[in-house]
Amino acid sequence: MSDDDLESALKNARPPEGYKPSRQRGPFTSHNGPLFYKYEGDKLWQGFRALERHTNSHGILHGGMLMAFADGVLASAVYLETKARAVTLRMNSDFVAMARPGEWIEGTAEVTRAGREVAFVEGRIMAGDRLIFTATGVFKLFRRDKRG
Amino acid sequence: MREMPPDYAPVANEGYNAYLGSIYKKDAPVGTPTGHFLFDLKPHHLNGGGTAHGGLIMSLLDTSCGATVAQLVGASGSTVSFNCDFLDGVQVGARLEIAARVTQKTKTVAFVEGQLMKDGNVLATARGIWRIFPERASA
Amino acid sequence: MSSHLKPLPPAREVAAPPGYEIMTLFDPFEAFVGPFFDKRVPQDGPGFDGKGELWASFFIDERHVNTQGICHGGMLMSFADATLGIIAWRINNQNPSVTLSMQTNFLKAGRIGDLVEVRPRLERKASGILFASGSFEVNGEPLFTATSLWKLKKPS
Repeated sequence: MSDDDLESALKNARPPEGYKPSRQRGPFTSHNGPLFYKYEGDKLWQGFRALERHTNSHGILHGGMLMAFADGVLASAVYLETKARAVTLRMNSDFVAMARPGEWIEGTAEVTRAGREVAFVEGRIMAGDRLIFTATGVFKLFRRDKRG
Repeated sequence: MREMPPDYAPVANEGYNAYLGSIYKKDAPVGTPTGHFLFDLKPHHLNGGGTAHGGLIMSLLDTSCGATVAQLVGASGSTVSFNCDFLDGVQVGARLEIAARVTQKTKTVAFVEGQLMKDGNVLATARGIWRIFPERASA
Repeated sequence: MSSHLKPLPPAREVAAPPGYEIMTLFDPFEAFVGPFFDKRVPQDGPGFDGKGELWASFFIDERHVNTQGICHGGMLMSFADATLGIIAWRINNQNPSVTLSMQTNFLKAGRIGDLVEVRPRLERKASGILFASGSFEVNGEPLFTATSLWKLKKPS
């Protein structure tokens, strides 16, 4: 996606009040989204506008899009909690309900436990006030002060 | 051994669950989507390292989440998928608490989350999908 | 090494099915719900450690079922934790390991008398982390599947 295309996509997404564009994301995420974020206190929410290109052949939001989005939501929560570089070891997904193009999709996550080497995190994704997806993840941490 | 509170009674207390030792469920009316459970950890529930065996922890969460589905719909369902994360170990003598919640229910499936705790600290979390049999349901 | 651990007798005596031996168990809970059985079959492949494919099994009995006479999910998950844990235990030179996470699917109902068999599979060992999975079968038909993530502890 070119810079102009990204700017136009950001504008067309019509994010709810409080959301700002995420401009520092990797190419995969920028191309898929675009994504937005906001803080409620310490809690980070991320969101995107569901578009036709995010759907499957049934016209509902594609599971792959939700998982890709959720992985980023979980990873952000892990980073905010631990300040450590982290990679996903596993993510488990539950597709609780459907979402359709046009809806604002937003998610947040909480770290349930962070040790030296691994962190556990739980996330949820909403479409408006409907819970549509939950995920739990385990992330491997690469703490800078750790030897060996 | 501490006594269980009066508003708790053994749940699904037959077969495998009776063999393990009773899981106590807090009374709640049919239709309630949340469940609270208590269980006392005994020496035969441990692994070689002296902490609760992962299989026991999953058994407790499976039974508690399933009993919460049954409480919500008025009939027992069956586990289709169950996922558990192990956050910390727990040693013998502990009274474990389990809190379960149905997050979504359709005609044929329920999504459930459970947490296993000791003194308010979360030791394991679980998420599962239960099949519901509408012909059996009363709520 | 955990060589100080003593093998525990299973809670009841059950004859091993043909080809299998009674598995040596160290965890009180596994002895409580056991016995389990194991065998090595080099003809089936090298196995996770080159010593021949590992098979593990147990017979569903009346201790393991719910009111409908179907094997309790908790029992299948306990067997999965035990048998996928064998890989973590062996790969980690018989040092302890802990289950970080387990994902399971219940495909069919298991009944009293069924022999549940698994060939635990090592998916990957990374630094301090191990992935293992298994398809648990009765008469060659999948009953239950599990994937798991383990943290390998260092010798204390």
